[in-house]
Amino acid sequence: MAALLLLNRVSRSTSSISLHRVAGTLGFNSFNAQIHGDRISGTLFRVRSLATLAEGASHFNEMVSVNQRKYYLLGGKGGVGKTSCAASLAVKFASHGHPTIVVSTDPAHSLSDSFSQDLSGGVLKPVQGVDSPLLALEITPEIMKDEIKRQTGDKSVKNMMDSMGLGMFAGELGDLNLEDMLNAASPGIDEIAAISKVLQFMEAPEYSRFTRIVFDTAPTGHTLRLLSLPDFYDSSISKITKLKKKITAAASAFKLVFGKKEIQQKELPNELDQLKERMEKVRNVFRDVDTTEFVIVTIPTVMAINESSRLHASLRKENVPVHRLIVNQLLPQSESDCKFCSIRRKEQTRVLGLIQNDTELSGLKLIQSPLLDAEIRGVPALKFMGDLIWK
Amino acid sequence: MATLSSYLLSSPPLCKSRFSATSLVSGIDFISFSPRTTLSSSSTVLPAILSLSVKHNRRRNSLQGSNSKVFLFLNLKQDWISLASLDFDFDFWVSVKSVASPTETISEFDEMVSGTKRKYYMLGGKGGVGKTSCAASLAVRFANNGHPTLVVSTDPAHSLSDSFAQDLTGGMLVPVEGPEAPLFALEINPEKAREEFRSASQMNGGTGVKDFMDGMGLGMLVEQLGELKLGELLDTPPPGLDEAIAISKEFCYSIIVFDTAPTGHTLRLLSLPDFLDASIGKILKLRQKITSATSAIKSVFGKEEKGPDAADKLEKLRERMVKVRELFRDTESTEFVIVTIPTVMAVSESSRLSASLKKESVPVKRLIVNQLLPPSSSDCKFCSIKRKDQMRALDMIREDSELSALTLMEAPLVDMEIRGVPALRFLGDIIWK
Repeated sequence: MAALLLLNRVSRSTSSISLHRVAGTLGFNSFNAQIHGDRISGTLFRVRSLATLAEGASHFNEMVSVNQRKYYLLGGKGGVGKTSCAASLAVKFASHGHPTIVVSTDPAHSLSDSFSQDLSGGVLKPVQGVDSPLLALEITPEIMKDEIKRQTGDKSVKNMMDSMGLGMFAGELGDLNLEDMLNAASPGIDEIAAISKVLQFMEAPEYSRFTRIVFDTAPTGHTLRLLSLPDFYDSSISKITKLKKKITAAASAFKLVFGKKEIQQKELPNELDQLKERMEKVRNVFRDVDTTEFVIVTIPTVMAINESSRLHASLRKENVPVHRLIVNQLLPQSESDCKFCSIRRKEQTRVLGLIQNDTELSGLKLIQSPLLDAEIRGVPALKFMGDLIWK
Repeated sequence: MATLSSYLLSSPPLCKSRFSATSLVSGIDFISFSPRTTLSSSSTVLPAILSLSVKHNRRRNSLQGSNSKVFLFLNLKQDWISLASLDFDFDFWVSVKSVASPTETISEFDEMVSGTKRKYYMLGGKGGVGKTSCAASLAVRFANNGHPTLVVSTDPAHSLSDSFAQDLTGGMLVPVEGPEAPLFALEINPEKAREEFRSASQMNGGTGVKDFMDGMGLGMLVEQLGELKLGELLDTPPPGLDEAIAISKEFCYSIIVFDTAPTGHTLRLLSLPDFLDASIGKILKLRQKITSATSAIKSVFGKEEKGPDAADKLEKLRERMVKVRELFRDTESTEFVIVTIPTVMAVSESSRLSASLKKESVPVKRLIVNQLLPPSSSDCKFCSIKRKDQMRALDMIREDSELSALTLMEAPLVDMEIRGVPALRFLGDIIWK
């Protein structure tokens, strides 16, 4: 009923809509023809996907039932519709009264394309056209790297040598910065910076009311690296701290040999410890079963299913909670298939069978999302899609 | 011809013994195409000819089936599919996903294979547009043309194994079975690349600090510092290091095809050589300055000077990085091919990628638009609307200031996936012509 009312409002033509359910799938041919020529807020309305839940229960109620802050990360093979699914989920959360933030951590940002609104610039921007507060953010790698570098401060070798009382060598070593190599070298730093920044936002009073955070992650390859990054950072920071301590000890011993009066040691700043704490927090967020969920998005092809299976294996190995699998771009029901669509549908059905047999994916809740003829772009289209996928 | 005829005659019994009734029907269809065995493909693409090409697909598919049987069990093992799944339709063995026709009449492929100098092709673009299929089919075509070829997958989520229907994991060169000329495939193993990088930098970095302390005559502190290894600060390779190491290896192949990671990763790959050059430079600089300090200390004590360790490995690695950076911008031996699909979002992303590549002076000449609907006289409503939308995306490409200058190659979408060498050969013969 709610969906029907929404459809009527969206189409602005209440009398001509004819919807009925066929085998659990909404019939869309006539509806699609009807709205294809309509214009909403000057934007040509495009509907690309309709969704039907394989299970009868309403799972979206489960997703919105609590007021506790929750994080959703949507990932999967490139080009399967992660951005559309993430954006539609964010729109649906906002429509249900949850102030929401959607963040894109893929360096090749497409949230702007999905919302048909310029969201670049690396700052939170309100999305227009949604009833409740919805902010979007496209992380800019360069800005984030500068911020992290600034926060770790200047830990040059020069400072270390100065503290050893060897002033005559300070000039030669002054321009070396070990931490620069650390900061610049880490793959996946974009994702860490994004998630860490969002976690910082959440601690600020003005953002305390945002209870749903949706991450549109980079394609699978990045996600696989992202998972191991916090551990790497933990190890690296420990090494730097260790190096500092040992050089300090060496300096003390050196002074004893020369009998010099010991120079009072300036206490080393602990920005590194703060950075380490932030990494720890990000890692904990990843593995918190109560507040975090990773949703895998895929399409019904053998290669995509194989990649999703590998992704799920990696996530399970890292103890990241995964409950849902969205199979996007399925051909919708039709009475007048051409030969091309008929063969293609047969192939897609076979691939769905592969999912049922896969040991990794068969345990997930399956959400089917059919493919329509046009792309999902703009808030009205995303709202429509969200109402049908996330039900 | 004789071999093919023999295969045709022997095929029906095989089908009957192993496949369901549905696939038996497929077998019958297969027999009905026997008279067309002599059909040869034409370079001129017309709707009627294309229709015949589709039928040609089915015959080719049968060959695909034959070759794929050996690998089915590898796939089963890999996909954790139970043996009960063996009861597939005959179509499981065959998959041809795209048929392509060039918009230009000139033979582009001749230009690609001319000259004996080693050439590098990097195929990149938005995820899920068919980069792996295009890269694999290009490699197969090069090999069939007599050029020993290497195809490398640098996407951490490897799918070359899926595309060739052969297990290529392990991070080592694996010969691909099927093509006439030598064709090897390599899925870069990040762990191995990391080990190589670490061993090169660690050997010198760690020694530096230790030598420094030792040179100061403070033997009692050596064991405390012995475990320090500055090189380990670079434990994790920067993005794109996999590509760089692969390129710097001395392969005896005349053509190397890279199947790169999705756009975001490629954008960062472009700045890698500059970063590595600076990074290794810093390590060497640190080592030199420590050596200088050591010399000064020794002169105070009048000790005999100890020769510093050579930094040969790091220097060599640095030279390789410089070579890679130059290679990326060499318009004669390197080409970046952008792969996309006809949707607004994919075209927008391709435009951004092209802009970034131009900014980095990487040569880009070709754009492949994949998954186009093939011409058809009996469209259903769905296909009709979808085709209209795709035409709009194609117009968008022609009007885009970034993409309109590239050579446009169209690759239509067919009903099934491209998997296995015969299917890739078919795809390659039609896309790259």
